Amino acid sequence: MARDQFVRFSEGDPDAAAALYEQYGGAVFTVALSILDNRELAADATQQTFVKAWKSAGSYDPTRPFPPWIYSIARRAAIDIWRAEKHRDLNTASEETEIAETPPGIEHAWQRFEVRTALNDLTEEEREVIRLTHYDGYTHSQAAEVLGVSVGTVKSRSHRAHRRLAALLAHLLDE
Amino acid sequence: MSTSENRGEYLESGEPSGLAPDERARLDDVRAVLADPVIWEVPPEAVADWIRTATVGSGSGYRSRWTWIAAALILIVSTVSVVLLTMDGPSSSAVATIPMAGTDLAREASGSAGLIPTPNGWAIDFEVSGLPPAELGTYYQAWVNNGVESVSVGSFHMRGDRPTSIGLWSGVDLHDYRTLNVTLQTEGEGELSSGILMMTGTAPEFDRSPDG
Repeated sequence: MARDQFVRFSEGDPDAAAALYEQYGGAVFTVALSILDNRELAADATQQTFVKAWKSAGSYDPTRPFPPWIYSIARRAAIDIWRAEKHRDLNTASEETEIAETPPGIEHAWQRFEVRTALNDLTEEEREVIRLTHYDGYTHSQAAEVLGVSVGTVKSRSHRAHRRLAALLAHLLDE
Repeated sequence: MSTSENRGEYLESGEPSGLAPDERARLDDVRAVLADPVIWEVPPEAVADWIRTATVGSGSGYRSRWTWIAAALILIVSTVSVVLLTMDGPSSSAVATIPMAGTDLAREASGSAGLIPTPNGWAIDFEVSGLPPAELGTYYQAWVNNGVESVSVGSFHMRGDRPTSIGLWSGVDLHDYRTLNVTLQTEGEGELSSGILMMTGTAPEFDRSPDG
């Protein structure tokens, strides 16, 4: 997302808000799903995240990185829903219990958010080959058959995709 | 420090490439994430529709002189159904407004509900003030009514950062269901209206144009 898009978002431009959702909607949904483990609740959390972000657009400093900002809003929205659901399930009103407990999926949420955001920066072809080989477990030959291209093309795309992904995630891997 | 080339190779194959053990461990974590179905899930399209409607309807910051242009631009970059909508003319702004008032149970409450037609139903941008937070174990439910029956259009609790706008959604035609009611519900007591009416309002009849 171009820098001026963040500036326009902070100024309340709905066009920039739509572009923001196109770029980060998937990653926010990943955070929500990691924490809530429920598609419907995760959709609610995603919706709430972007509405809250939109309402708070004036407080966002476009000179600062955007991903941590939207991530913190998403994390908060998902935790709130998780606690409300837990409160309903347990039928307890213990304030201490609510404060002390956090969802089990939260420890992986940031890493998943980062990986999903990086995947979004790849081309469709690069993302596709990564999905086929990592998620679907295909070999290069099998992926070539699925995509209708040569094995050489798959290998080339895979090599380029993984190198780009490693570069995009350098800040995670340098820790 | 290893290059992206070495790391990329390890990410791709899991084969050692002169990387330190701790670096391989971090890359193994990423490989595990890439295999995780959560990473590949996409949000329902309805979320995108609602967010587009909410951002155009509230217009935070960018004011009304260019709002209809921004609304058309957002729709154009979205799905085919949204493109068809823009070809029919601007229709993502409110076509009618319901003035809302508190009942004796919420005398300080007031607001207005903008009714926005979309391809998948009606978005209701409910601006509200003076309605107190619902106590834990209770929540507010919004209903539209046509004089015969009530249909739920969403629930909320007002316990957050005091939102000024609540996003509701109707699958019934608001030309016919022009009354909006807000009741106080108790968790666990079922989906029917409690009858505890907190706010109400009715829109005057409005045109059944192709876009609304």
